[in-house]
Amino acid sequence: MSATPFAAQAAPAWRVKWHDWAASEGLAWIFVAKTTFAALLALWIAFRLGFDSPRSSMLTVFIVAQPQTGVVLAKSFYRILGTAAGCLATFVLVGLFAQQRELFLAAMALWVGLCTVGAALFRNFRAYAFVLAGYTACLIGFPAALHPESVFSIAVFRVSEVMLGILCAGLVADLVLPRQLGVGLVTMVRGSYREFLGFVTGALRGRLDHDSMERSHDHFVANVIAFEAQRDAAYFESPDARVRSDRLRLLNAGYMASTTSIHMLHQMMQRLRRRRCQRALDRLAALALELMPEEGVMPATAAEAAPLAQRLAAFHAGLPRRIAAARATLEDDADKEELLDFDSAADLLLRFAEEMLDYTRSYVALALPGTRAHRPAPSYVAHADWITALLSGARATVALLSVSAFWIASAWPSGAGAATIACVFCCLFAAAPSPLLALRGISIGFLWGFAAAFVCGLMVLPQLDGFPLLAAAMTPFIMIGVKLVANPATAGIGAGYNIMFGSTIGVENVTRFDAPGLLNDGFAALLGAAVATLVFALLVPVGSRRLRLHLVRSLRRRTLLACFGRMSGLRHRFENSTRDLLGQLLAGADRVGGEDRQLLGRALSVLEAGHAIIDLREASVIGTLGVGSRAALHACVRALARLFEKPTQRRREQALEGVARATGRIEAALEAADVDPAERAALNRGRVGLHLLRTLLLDDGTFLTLSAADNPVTAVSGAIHDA
Amino acid sequence: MTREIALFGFFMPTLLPLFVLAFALQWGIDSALGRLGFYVHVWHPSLFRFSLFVCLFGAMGLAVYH
Repeated sequence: MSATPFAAQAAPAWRVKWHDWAASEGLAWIFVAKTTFAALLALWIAFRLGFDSPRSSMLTVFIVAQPQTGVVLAKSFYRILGTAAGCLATFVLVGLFAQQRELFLAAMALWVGLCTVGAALFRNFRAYAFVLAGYTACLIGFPAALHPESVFSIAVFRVSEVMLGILCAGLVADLVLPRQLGVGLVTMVRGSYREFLGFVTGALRGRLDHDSMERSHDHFVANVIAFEAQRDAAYFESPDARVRSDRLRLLNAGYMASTTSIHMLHQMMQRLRRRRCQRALDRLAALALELMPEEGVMPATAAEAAPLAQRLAAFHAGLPRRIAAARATLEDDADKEELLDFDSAADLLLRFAEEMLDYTRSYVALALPGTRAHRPAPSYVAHADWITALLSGARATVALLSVSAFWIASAWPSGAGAATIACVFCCLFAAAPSPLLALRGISIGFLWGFAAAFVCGLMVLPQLDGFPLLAAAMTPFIMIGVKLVANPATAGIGAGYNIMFGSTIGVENVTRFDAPGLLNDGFAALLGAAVATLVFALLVPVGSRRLRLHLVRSLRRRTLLACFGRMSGLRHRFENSTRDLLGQLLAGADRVGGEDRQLLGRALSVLEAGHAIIDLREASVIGTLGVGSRAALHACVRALARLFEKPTQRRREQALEGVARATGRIEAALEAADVDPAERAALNRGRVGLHLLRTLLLDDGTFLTLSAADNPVTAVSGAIHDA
Repeated sequence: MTREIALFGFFMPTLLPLFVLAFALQWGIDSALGRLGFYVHVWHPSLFRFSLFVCLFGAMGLAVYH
């Protein structure tokens, strides 16, 4: 409506302003109102049911509250699982070690460490279940260990309180003015498809420079990860999203594959351009550009992309013939090297057309109700780094042990609170790119929350009587915290404020205004946050050079997966885990110093090499190859693996030798007359892969980028080389 | 029906497993309706889902506390 000039003129200025406000601040205020309402509702029901500690329900609402319904439901679901697991663990631990507090605390520290390892390995909403399993164990275990006879009733109360909070938060988020994730997901899918088409057109016309290419890839990686997180959460939101979940996963896989193959094609075309094989290049570009719709008629929705899918299918079917025709005109006066380059680029074009078709098909399928994915959807493969995860676990264990030691030594009544908070933060930030920054925000929030709890709990509440007045008095204090959470810049501070306010404000069934208790609880939380901060800062800090180098090196070692991984579904697993790791690395990269660009360059080389190696492995299982040829191909893969394990000049030469030998074998096999077409295609792809690998290995810049992590001096000179 | 059932020696209200059962049932019906495209005709799908759950759980509760 507002797109037509008439409507724009007709709408008065105040209405435009109102719409702007409603779309930004208005949404935030709706979130604030909803969360405040849900918190008070949970508190009221908890009072009515006579729970031990009604504030736990309110605190739960704060913890799971999010603007989008799907995220609330996903967090809630995993929180329920985690709470159940933590509860069971507590029964076991209390049953075994309740008589010996040192033993009990040590066992608890181990359990929390295990949960943290899980949280660091999983990184998405599943991590939340692990955080909660550790947190619940502390929450129930410490009071229960002091009174082992009542462990069951304590557990029942805590679990009921948490469940009540989850129910209230989920219901209010879903029923009152819901803001569904599905809508955002649709916008995101459409946006990334259109953007990708634009990118492809630019790349094929040769109008993209190195810089914008890298920026786009940076953006693609972020998109892949954000998309998966949203899909995961939307799954809980509506059956609509559940029905489409498979197709959405397929779409994301297709997106990843297409971005890689267009990059490989673009690289090959740049190489051709540099070698001035202009004619071959022109023919290819003419072929490739036919793929793309005219500028200005980009399909805006999935339904509009249907004709494009048909055109792509027709183009893909006719492509081998046209490539052969283009090659025939070249054959007369091109040298062997030029022909090989042309063959490689043509094969990459064919692959890109295949993947673009797959991506477009998944996109079109989204608009058709009741259809299934056109092939089984591969699941998202995150890169889980065991060393980082084990370190996180060690941090949590050490934090809990040191707080416990202080607790035993000082006989402090609130020691349990400090231990619980330290455990929560170690788990929660196990996978965060910069936990210290997050903890700083939380600690600032803690101070404000402490002040608010003090004012509200000891100065305002004693004047009042009855639940309505209690609710009215707490509303402004709650709203401040939730408003802080609603703003991304202050979300950490808001979270700290809410946790502190919710856990120290003394609202209980038997009214008591307990100033020392409130102070003790407040200091306990602050001490917990301080210990967590110390542990994160001292025990192999997350941003430390050594840990970073380890991750950067494991980016290169992803190629080992391509060399030795199980063949079924390998391409997707390799592609996905490499991109996921790249996303993790980019989240903590120093963007001013150009580290992100170096990482991107390295990851793209790794992706190129890995795909070529997989092609080679696929060619090596062809039936017509003799035993000797097969052995040569395997030896080549092994030499490449050794090179990517630790790049040295010697290994590089050995790998080049292996590639040359394998190329000879494959060419010999191709010359045999009686090869059937499917096997010929696989062999051809293997030869193209070898050609690509050889080009990569001969390129000094690529070799430097790849070996940079093992030698800091090379890293610096590599950066200079890049610049 | 009995209002409390024993599980490993602990008594719990029958409503608790019924809640889980109602939830599972609702999840199934919800998925089926979603597959059929039923929610296109519903003004507030979440409210519909919640009401469906209340009806299911309420009916089961009435059967127990008859």
